[in-house]
Amino acid sequence: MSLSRNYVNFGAPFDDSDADIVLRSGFTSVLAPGSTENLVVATDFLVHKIFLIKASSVFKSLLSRSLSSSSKTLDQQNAEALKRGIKRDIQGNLPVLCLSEDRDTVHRLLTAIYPIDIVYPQTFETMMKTFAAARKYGMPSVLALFRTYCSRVAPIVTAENAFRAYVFASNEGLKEEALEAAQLTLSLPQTFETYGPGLCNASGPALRALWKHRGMAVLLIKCGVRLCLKEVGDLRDWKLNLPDDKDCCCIVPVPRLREQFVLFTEKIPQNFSTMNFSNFVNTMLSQGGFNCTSCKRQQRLDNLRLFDCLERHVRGQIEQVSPVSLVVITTNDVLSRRTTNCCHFSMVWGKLLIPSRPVVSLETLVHHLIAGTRM
Amino acid sequence: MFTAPGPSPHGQGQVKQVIDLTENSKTLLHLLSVIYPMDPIVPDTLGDALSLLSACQKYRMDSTATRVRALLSARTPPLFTVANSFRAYGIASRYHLEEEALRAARLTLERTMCFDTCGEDLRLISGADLFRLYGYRNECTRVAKDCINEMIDHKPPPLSSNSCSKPVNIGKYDTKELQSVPRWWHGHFLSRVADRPSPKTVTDRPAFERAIPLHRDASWCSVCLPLDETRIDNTICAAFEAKLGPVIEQVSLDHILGRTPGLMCIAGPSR
Repeated sequence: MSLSRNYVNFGAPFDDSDADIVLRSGFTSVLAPGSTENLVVATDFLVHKIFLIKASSVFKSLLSRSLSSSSKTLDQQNAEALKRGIKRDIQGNLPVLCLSEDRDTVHRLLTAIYPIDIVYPQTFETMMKTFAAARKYGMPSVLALFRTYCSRVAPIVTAENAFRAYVFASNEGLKEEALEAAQLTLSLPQTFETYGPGLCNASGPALRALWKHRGMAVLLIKCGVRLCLKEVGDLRDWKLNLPDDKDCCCIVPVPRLREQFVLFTEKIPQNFSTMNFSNFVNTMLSQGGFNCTSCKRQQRLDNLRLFDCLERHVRGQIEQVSPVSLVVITTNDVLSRRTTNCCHFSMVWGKLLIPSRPVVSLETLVHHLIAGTRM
Repeated sequence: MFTAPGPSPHGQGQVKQVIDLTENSKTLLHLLSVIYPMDPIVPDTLGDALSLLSACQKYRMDSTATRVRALLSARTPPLFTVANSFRAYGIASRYHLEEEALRAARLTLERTMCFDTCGEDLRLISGADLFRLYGYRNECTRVAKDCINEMIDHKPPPLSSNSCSKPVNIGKYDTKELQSVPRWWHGHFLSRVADRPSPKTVTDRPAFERAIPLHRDASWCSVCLPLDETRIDNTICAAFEAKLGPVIEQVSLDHILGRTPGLMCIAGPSR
């Protein structure tokens, strides 16, 4: 370790004596050893090429070529490295790849490819940096691992920070994360008051894409609600089956409950956060049960199944929206698609609160979005 | 003294010096037409006008900028309108044209500020500039409300559904009394400030005239604005507009409500 050279060694477990390459992070503020003072230095990780080659297509390309070292290959290799912002250096007798990512990001990536405890991102800023780095270095497995954890195991992006996450993802060029965050923003009103100072980091094109996304989502939510209302009909087939129901068909329609259901669905396009099960149950139970005119017994609706139907249709429609496709999809496209492309996917109860992956290609949209972001 | 010198012997046969500029040919044409002794070519679009002013600013041609502004002000129809105010604000802010940004920001006060009103213009306005505009409008709303409340010494105005306590003295045209005695129209103006804090919009005559029958129907008021309604409407609205105008004029884009040190770190320093 040499402070005079502006880098420090990370230490265990990335200090093996049999390491055959050094990954050097970008400059990061770290606590000086044996001191309370912070230093802004790069950090060296002593690692093994084999792990990098197996985990990353970019490192594979850079490191495999170096085995056959004709001068032309080296030139190409250096050009490719520079294209990706990677500089080369020598540390002792080890080659060094100088990366632009900060120390913590490089560390997180390495923990995901080494057989050690994985260090997961805890904030969406670190999450986005990690995702961006995994994508940059061609590490799909690592990306999938982190994405699963950050969206399913310990969700980092919530409705409350969704806008900031959207802006961050847009600025980093992370299209899928931008889309997921955009979908989460639907739970809060789209106002300048809601977004507040978070606006300051947003580009105009990213804001326009989000506005378009909202408009499209509202259209599709209405479409999902219509499809649901069509499916449930007059609710005669949605009552909760009781043990003795065999003796009575109990098919009397329930206009009062249907009206209540329609009332509930009408609020969803204006305020997506109203679409939650407890709210739904409260709304429906406010009308109480109903008595079958044949058997005179009190009946209840199968609210769980009914809500599941609503969610299935509405979320199925929302999944068709993407910030990129909004740039190129017209309202007519949506209206024509809504009748033919109703998404029939299975949704288990536990998945209801988890944003789903987009089902359409995002390439074009993201291209527009990213190009706009960097104008 | 007035004899023009002949061509420089050093210049003969030499290639003319070329300076590559980033401005497009239209902007350069506009710029040269203003500084050369010829009829100036006034830009006919908002984008061209702001691009020209930006070039003046970049090359530190202050006098030219002043002249361009005068030409643009005299232009009919005006380039800055309520309809394009958000776009104008976005472009002007991007070019760091503070005067034009403020002018456009004032025009936005006649519109509600929401994502739908900004619409496609959003792509031209950075988030930071939007936040700045949002703060500016909040400040305008605050000072306009303060202004109205101060007229009635911060007493709550009576509800529109309450009958007026005494007749309005139309004979005297006592605008002081019209302003200072708490009346339902104070509430009317206050309710209009929040959404669109422009003095013109707050005191919109048709809106005021629509509010009168609502007030009468709700309160059975028989003393409010009898007889010469149009004249008294105009008196009230004009008096309030005259009060609100200078107050709003004093608000600058940097006079942002809630510009706490923390927010300044995020929003950036004042320009």
